[in-house]
Amino acid sequence: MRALPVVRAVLGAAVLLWAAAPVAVAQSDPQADHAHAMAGAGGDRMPRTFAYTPATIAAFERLPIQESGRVKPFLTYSRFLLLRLAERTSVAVPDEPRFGDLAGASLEPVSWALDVMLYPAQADEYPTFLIPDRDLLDRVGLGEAAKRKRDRYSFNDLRPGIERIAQEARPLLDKEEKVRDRLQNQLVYLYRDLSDYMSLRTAFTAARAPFRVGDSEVLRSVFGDVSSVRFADGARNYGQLSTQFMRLRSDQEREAELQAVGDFLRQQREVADLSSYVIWLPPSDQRTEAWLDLDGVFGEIGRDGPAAHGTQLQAIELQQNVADAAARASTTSDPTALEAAATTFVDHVRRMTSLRGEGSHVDMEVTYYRVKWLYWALILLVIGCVTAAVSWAFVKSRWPMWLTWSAVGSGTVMLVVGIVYRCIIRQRPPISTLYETFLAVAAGIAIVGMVVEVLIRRRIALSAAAYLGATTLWLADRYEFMRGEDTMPQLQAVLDTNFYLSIHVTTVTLGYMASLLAGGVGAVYLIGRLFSDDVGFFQAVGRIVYGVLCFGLLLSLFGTIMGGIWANDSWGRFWGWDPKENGALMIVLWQLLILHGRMGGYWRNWGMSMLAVIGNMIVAFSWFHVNLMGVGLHSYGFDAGLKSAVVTFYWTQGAILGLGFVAWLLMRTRAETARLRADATPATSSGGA
Amino acid sequence: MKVLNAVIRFLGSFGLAAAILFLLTVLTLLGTLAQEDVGLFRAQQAFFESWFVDPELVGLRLSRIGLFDVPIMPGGMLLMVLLFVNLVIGGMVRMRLKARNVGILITHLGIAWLLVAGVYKQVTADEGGLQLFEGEQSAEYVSYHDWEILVEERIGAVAADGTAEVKQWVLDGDRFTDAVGPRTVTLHTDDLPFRLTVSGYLDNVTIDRARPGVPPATPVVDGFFLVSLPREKENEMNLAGCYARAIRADGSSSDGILIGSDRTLPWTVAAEGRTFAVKLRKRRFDMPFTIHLDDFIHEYHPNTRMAKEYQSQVTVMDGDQEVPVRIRMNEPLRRDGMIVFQSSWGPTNAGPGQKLYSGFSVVRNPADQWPYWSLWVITAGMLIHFIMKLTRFVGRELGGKQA
Repeated sequence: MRALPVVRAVLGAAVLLWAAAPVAVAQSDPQADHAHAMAGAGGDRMPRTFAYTPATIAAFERLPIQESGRVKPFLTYSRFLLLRLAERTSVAVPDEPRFGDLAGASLEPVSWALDVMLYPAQADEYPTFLIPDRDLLDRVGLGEAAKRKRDRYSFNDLRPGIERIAQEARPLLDKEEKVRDRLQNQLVYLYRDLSDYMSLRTAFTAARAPFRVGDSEVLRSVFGDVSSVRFADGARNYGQLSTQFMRLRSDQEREAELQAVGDFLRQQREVADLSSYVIWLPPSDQRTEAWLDLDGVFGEIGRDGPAAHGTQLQAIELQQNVADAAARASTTSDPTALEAAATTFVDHVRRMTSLRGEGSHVDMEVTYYRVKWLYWALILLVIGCVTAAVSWAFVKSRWPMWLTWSAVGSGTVMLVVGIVYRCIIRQRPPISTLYETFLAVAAGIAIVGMVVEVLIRRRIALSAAAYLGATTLWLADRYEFMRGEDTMPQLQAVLDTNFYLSIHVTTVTLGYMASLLAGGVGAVYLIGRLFSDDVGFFQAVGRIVYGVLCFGLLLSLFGTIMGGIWANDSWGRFWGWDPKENGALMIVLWQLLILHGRMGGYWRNWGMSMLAVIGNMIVAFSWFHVNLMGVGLHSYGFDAGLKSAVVTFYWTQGAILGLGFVAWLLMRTRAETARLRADATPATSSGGA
Repeated sequence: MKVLNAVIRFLGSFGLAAAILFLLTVLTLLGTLAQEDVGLFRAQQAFFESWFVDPELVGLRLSRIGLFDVPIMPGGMLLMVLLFVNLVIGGMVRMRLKARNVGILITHLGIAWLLVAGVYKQVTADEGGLQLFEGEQSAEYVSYHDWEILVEERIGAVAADGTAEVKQWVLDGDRFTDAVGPRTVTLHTDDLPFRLTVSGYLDNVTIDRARPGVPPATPVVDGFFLVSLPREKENEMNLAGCYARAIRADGSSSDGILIGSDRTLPWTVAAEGRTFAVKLRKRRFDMPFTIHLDDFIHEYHPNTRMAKEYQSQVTVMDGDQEVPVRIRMNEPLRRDGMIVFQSSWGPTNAGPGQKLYSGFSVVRNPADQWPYWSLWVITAGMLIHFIMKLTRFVGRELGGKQA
């Protein structure tokens, strides 16, 4: 899954190097110098002196673009780009007088992205790039610019090192992530981040740039008596100019004209190329799935003529209007004209998208991110954790339990609504990515926890639901921040089956959920035994562990065999001992072991709880660890960034097992004491695990 | 009788079940981790398809995570046979037939069926691959892992396109792979005027030219010798090699080297005025029908290099019958006990208009659908059992509360 950004980074290399060394390029390549000069001439040096109106932001949030193979709102693109660069969803404008009224403001993703596109010189000053390791700065010669550990760097801070970053990173792109060392990986990520930033930065370059007509007779015959034209004018006449150019090549006496027309065409293509990374232009041909980048427009117009692409050319003109309005707003500080231009432009692109039958879920996706269902679900579950803790402290009071029910219940509803939103947007079952497994496990734990609490009213299951649900959802949040990639990606061909995705993946993931819930309640048993000897309470805990394990076995076994059947249809074998398959098998075997051992009387509640906690480690192994191995057919799930989290989890479970062992010693001591007392004073006694 | 009862009791006990399940979990863990070191194929053979695991392989993993070496470790075959026996004796034969055990009994039946399906597939199934360019057809597929020795003799004149009718003999399956170290294996068929003695079989080789003063570790034939290479993690990447001696009826003989590579010329053997080409190649299997690739379509997600879909439009030719079929990911062709899956395509760097090939995995597996049916048996059994338990539990809880 990392391959895509790397490819994008390779494609963006030219842009990056262009940004890194404009002076050197200008000295050596007059054409590039011209492109660079034009890119700057249209107003990219202007500051933003006003606040965007809410309507401007709302319009751009809903702008459909095609990225990573799907049509999505611009909000999604800018949000994940900012997450990847800054590991945040906002950027703080430096609190300095030169930023005027904006000083100290916090910019949401779309405001930030608009600044990068429309006012790049200003955005280059924003602290945007998180560089976790100072060694990386030393390596690329920026050691003197180093800040504190979690401080962000502006593009201008990094600009002096860009050439070296590109030089050192490019040879590393062909190597797999797992064979590169930590610093090399960070270098590649920084290179990719800078490329992506530059892609956004140059998205409006074509819209801003004037193209010189000069004294060329041919150009004047096409454009009239003007000194320069805009990109859309050039694109509209591209076919005609190309024909003229071909004629001039055979006319030796008009070399100056040939040069002028050739330069014009080349400059247009170069600037189009610079502005081609954010793809927002739907093609006219309904059969073509790939949207057009600006460079692609030339090919279409050259082939079909401008009349066939009137709506595309109009969209380009409307984008130019946005650029013009932004430049004017900079001097007048009046954002209303920009609002009008932005709304018209976005509405036009949305109409084009809608006519193709695409983008029907763009608004829903914007709502999904604006409402932040999962964020509120997490907050409510965390509140549930607090009230659950209070309920254990004030056992006789009922209101903390009611608050816990309310918080966990409403948090679960928010979470389920968020998952339903995702299903509708993606037209997929709830789980088709690693990220979505977190959401499903959190929802499953919360729902099953509440059901068990209804059956066994001991506060244990509801508390476990709150804690484990909140923890899993928090992990989802961290995972999203760590990856900084769209969590609703397109799927590889092998995964493109809603039948198996909805049955196999869902049941296996819910099997993880049940195992974790059993392990979580098992941990309550082991830790609780350190402090209490309430036999009735711990028998209830044991019943929960047992019941959830039975439920988990049903799901895990069904899901694992169903996975084999899917593999039989996809890869030609039911079972191939692939690491992911083995992980699922281990969960099933372990659950069978626990249940058979219990039936055989080899262990009771304490032993079952210890084994259930070991089961947590097996789930972590199956869920994440096998993805770190880089072996097997489930390569769509590989993710090296999770290693330290998985190892930490193993250690925490090991610590719980250690506490469980201490609890066992205590239980033995208590039983021995009770026995001695019973011997001393004849009476009945009971208890034990 | 007493001893027999004790043995049966032991074989059907919960204790044995728990021990087997524990060992299977450990074995699966180690076999999974070992894939990082030795690759999937070798780990599969060593851990899951063996009676006992090579202690060196187990130790390799355990020592890496700081644990002690294990002198003996039961392999997957042994554990699964024991699990089957335990399941049949303890979970079916000796189980008391009560209403509350019905679910468990059905579940165990399903699991037993699943295990039998696995063994049956192991014994009877063949698998391999098939690559076809658009317009090509084939009625055979090529094994991924197994090798065979092929002898060919031209029996017709060479046609204008360079082809000629040939007669082929495949010598005695894969018995020659036993010719490891000092062992030799002799292959013979009555139609051939010579017998073949194979020696020095190696799993992964390259060939080198002998140099004066540097004695090679393997025999030199016509100035060349085989160099053993470490086994590749991806077993398909290994190139097998061996030495062969053709012994004619008159007692004369000639020596040759066989390498499983298409890039080396076959070894030629002359006998009784006839000339034969001898080759080492991946084993071929026949299909009961012919597949003709009419069209291959692949699509990327727009503006990406991520595969969205690839599918093959084929015609299945079976006697007089010609049936058009579409094969795509998750939708294989199932016919006459054969299953043909869409698995790959290429060349991935093909230019516009260049012909593409479609890669298929082909499996002959009579037990293909057994896991599917056993799944429903297992699920039904577990649902019956757990619903009965849940009903009893809820009844008890509610009854307890009402009381």
